[in-house]
Amino acid sequence: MDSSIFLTNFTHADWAIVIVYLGATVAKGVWVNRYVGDLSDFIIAGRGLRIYLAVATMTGTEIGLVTVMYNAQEGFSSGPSAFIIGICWLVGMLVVGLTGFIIYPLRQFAVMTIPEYYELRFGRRSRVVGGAILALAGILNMGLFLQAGARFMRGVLGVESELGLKLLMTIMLGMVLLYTTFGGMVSVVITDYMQFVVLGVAMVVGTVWIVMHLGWENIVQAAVEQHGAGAVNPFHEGGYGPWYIVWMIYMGVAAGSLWATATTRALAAHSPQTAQRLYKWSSITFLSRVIIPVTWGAAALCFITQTPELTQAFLGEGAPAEAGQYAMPVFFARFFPTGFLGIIAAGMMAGFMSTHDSYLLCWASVITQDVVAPFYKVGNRGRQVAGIVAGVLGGVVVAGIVSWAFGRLAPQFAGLIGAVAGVPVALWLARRIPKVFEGEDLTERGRFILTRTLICLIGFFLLFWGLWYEAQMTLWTYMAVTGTIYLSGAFVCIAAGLYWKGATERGALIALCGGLLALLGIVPWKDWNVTWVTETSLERFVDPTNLAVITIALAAAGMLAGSLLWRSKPDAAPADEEADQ
Amino acid sequence: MDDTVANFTTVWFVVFVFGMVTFAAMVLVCGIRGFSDILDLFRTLREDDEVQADGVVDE
Repeated sequence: MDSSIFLTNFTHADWAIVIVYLGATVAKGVWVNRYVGDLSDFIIAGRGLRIYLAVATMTGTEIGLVTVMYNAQEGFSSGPSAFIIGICWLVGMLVVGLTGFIIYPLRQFAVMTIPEYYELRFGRRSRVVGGAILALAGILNMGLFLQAGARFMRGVLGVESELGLKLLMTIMLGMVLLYTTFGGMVSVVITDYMQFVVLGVAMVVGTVWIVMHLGWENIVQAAVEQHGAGAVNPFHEGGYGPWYIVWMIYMGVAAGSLWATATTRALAAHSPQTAQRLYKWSSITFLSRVIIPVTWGAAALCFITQTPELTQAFLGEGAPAEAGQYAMPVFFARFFPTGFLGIIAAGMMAGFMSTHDSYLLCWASVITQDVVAPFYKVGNRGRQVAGIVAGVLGGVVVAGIVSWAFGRLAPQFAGLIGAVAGVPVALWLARRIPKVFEGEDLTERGRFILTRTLICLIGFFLLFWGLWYEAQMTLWTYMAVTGTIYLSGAFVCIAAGLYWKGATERGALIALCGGLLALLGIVPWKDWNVTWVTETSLERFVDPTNLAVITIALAAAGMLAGSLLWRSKPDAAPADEEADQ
Repeated sequence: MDDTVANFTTVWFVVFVFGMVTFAAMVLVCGIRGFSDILDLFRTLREDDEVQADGVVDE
């Protein structure tokens, strides 16, 4: 973006507010480490969450800086019609909350993670495959969090240089890693609660302020002038379209019940009834978390059209793809006065940290509990498969890093040098990993260390991915596509597992792997100049909406076909049900 | 503004007001009641630790 747009009302007083607030948040996160006695405390807060705290912490996680950024981008690029996404969430969460669909029986099983249920119902292979796909989708899903968060801070702080953006990303990541690795779920819960209160109040006050100042009619009018009738009517040509809305309704139910960071709150709830009530009440905040930022994005568009130098930078012909992400923070930086801007920035930063800590903890726990730990209980063949997979993955990663590092020095030899470095690593891992799994089980200390190490590794991945990858779609669509990688398979697996006795492990594996098709939706085909896709009818196939709908349908068909063709063992009984008897 | 746009403008305003009011109420209620839930959580975790330190195994 043109550096001249970064004017801000952010002053030393705002810095003081941010530093004091974040310092207190990090200190508190580290301090609550004293309450973490065992792995259950670390991952699901000892299953001690009661309803009000559960709602606050779930909302704290789901209303983070990134949520605000992607919804504001939708408001900027689609106008108030983006409210339809919030309504889909409200409906999805209400369906789950009122019926207990999936959540109630899942909480009865007393599992710590979703893939643990796969093992109970289908078998160990499903747990490992489902856990790996869940972690892959989840980590890709949060791949742009750091980038989006840093862009917000750049806009609000008025940082003009690109280098400043990279420094911001690194500093923010460091703060998140510091206290997530220390406190686990207990610190996540406390941080989320504080963030929920501070950001919640700031969001309400800020939104009323904006709407009263700019006027609702003017905000809608600016969106209609810029985007046509599609800005208010989601079904109108140029709006979202019916298939996108079908996809969002599916996401509302599937992600509402099974997106692991939200489901973790249900699994950490005091009882199955609390889990169900949690969803019922959270449906309101899931609507608001879309409504409020979409309004900010639409208001930013209105403000920008009234400011000539911003109109050219954001809406002119040469406006970059990421302009929609900068609109809301640049608007805030000029609209809100000193002091309130500091409170908003502090609340957003805390929101950024609370989302990251939940997500990092969730995906790291899934890899530890569901992908690595089960290999201690498999036979020789299973261990050899683990060695081969680890060898291939490790070799590819090392080859990629080495090729990238030598790419600028000797581009013609970079591939060869990468291969020379990657092959020995792959061979070493393929021989070494099976021996690691020869022990009795992964000890609790081992699980702690592995989870914390993975949190750091995922953090570094986010830094590199955020610096390198630029989405060719809106942030929300990117997240919906990456979410579909996991949800398309997981939703059908768990729904069929809980409610259809005929579901089998083969059907589950086909459904889970079928979700990987959605990966094609985030490939930057145009940037890579893949003309056999971008200039043929395949372009329609890799369109995110079409691809998501096809993936969801294929996963369901895979479960049905796989289960009808291969029969399996009887169901497992819910743990709580057995205990109640 | 044509009729459809005007109607949608009103509909979205109603949705906006509903979202804002209910969200403000949630922040208020969960903010106050959630604090006592935090104290309960700390008490539960501390009691669990004391039980484990005494050598009593959870069933």
